[in-house]
Amino acid sequence: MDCVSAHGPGGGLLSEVGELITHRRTLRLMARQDLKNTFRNYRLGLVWALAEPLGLALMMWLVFSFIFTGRADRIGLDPFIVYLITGILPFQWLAQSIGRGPKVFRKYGNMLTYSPLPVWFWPLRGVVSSGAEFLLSIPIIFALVLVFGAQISWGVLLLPVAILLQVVLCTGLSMLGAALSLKFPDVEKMTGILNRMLFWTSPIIWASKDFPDWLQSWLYLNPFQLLLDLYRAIVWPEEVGSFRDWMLSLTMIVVIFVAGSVLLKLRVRDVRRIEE
Amino acid sequence: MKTAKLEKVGVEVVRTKRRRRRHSKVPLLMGSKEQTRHWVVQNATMSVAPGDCIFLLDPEGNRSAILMKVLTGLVLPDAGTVVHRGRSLMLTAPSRGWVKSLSLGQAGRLLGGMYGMTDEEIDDRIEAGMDFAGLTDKSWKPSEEFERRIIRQLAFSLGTTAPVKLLGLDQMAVVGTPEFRLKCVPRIRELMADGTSVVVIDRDPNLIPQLATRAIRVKRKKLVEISVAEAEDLSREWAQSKRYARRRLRKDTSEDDEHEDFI
Repeated sequence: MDCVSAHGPGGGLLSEVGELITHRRTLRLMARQDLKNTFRNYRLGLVWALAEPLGLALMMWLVFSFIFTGRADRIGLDPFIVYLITGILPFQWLAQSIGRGPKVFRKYGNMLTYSPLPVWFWPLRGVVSSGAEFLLSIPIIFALVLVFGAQISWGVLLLPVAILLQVVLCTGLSMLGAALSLKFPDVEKMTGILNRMLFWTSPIIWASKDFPDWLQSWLYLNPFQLLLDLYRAIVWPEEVGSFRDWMLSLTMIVVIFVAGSVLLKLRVRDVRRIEE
Repeated sequence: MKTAKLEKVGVEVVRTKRRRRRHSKVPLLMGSKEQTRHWVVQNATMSVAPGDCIFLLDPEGNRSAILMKVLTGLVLPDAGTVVHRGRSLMLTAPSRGWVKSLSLGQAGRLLGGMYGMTDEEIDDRIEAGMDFAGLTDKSWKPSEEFERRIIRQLAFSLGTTAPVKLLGLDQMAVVGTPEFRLKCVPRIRELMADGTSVVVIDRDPNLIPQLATRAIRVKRKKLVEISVAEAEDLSREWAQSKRYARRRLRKDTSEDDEHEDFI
């Protein structure tokens, strides 16, 4: 195989997907290592991955169902605890991916400079390990659905689609954060604000039905809205948006992914040539 | 047919330096560091033939590492052309943090993956690699129980089994325990006999006569081909210099620090 390189990087999208397939076990091992590193110092280990979002959901359920009596019906869908948990668990995954993105080069920089693995592999590593935590928590969603008497609908078939789209969105956001943090380290501090903003502007506690009709479609400019609809289709299949809403959110996901990928490729040229 | 060829190659590196304060009382709001770019190599032309073992020397700095990255395709040049025939791999010293929380067997798999080997290649070679490193019976043990040199030993064993045409060894030519170090040079010679090109960066002057077929020195942004005897003298001179002693001391201290972190 001859490879002539003059200036620009080579390899298209297909070859990069091929790389992902040929290195899938390495990626899995990396994610496993990250999970072990995160929870190795705690006595309860991986339980903390589930306890934190579950605790938050329970607290909000108590506040909105008992303290502000009667408000739970108006701000979400019934049963409210199921509505909350199907929002909080995917959000936890999204927030972790956004938070880890700008730290990628600080954490894996010295490996990245010597490894021929594609550059997006490193942000994806964080996304996969956070995703593993989410996958572990899926039984909790089903347990709560059963305990609170909700019905599992045909929408459960959309769960793999939601997970796949979330991987793409999280990887895009993580790559954007990683690329921007090389020029502006302050991005790392901004992720906390961004996560809080996403939490309150996404239908995690409230439902889109609370907004006027003309505004509801535009809420899909936030791509996380579509993902939440798909997760909630497990119980509320009628909440899945129209074709136009899908297209709007999917376009946003693709734009974020492409922007992150291009920016990261441009910036990583500098990372590999930092003088030691 | 050459394994790799550089033609009039120029490479820029990024230097991070502390930003100068213009007014002592005004805080630096936009970060205290700035990045500047400068050329480390210009108009560099060289080729690597199958079975060659080339030593890269740069007594004045660390420009040989970036040159090796260009030769192995990790970094694209800013000027000129690089031609690679076949795959290449650059082996660099892994730190213990790379394989933290994994067993030695998993560490081997992860290192193989990081050096660019595919899952199938790792499956085919992991047993031979562990065997060569003498770690087969310890593959289930946590990597934290082993010193950094054992991790390097594992990386060398796996890296040298990779199906590549060009192997770069950055301070990785002779590594590991004293018994394992004796096995490294014969292993590299075997690879050379099979037609693999080897490019080495190593400060050990005794290694040059044992392995080198050619030597290249980076001097004032240019590549100068020197004889193996000259390279040995240069390396010996460098090993006796005060600057080398200072760098060695700094490296030892940082390795000790890393060790403390993990305990």
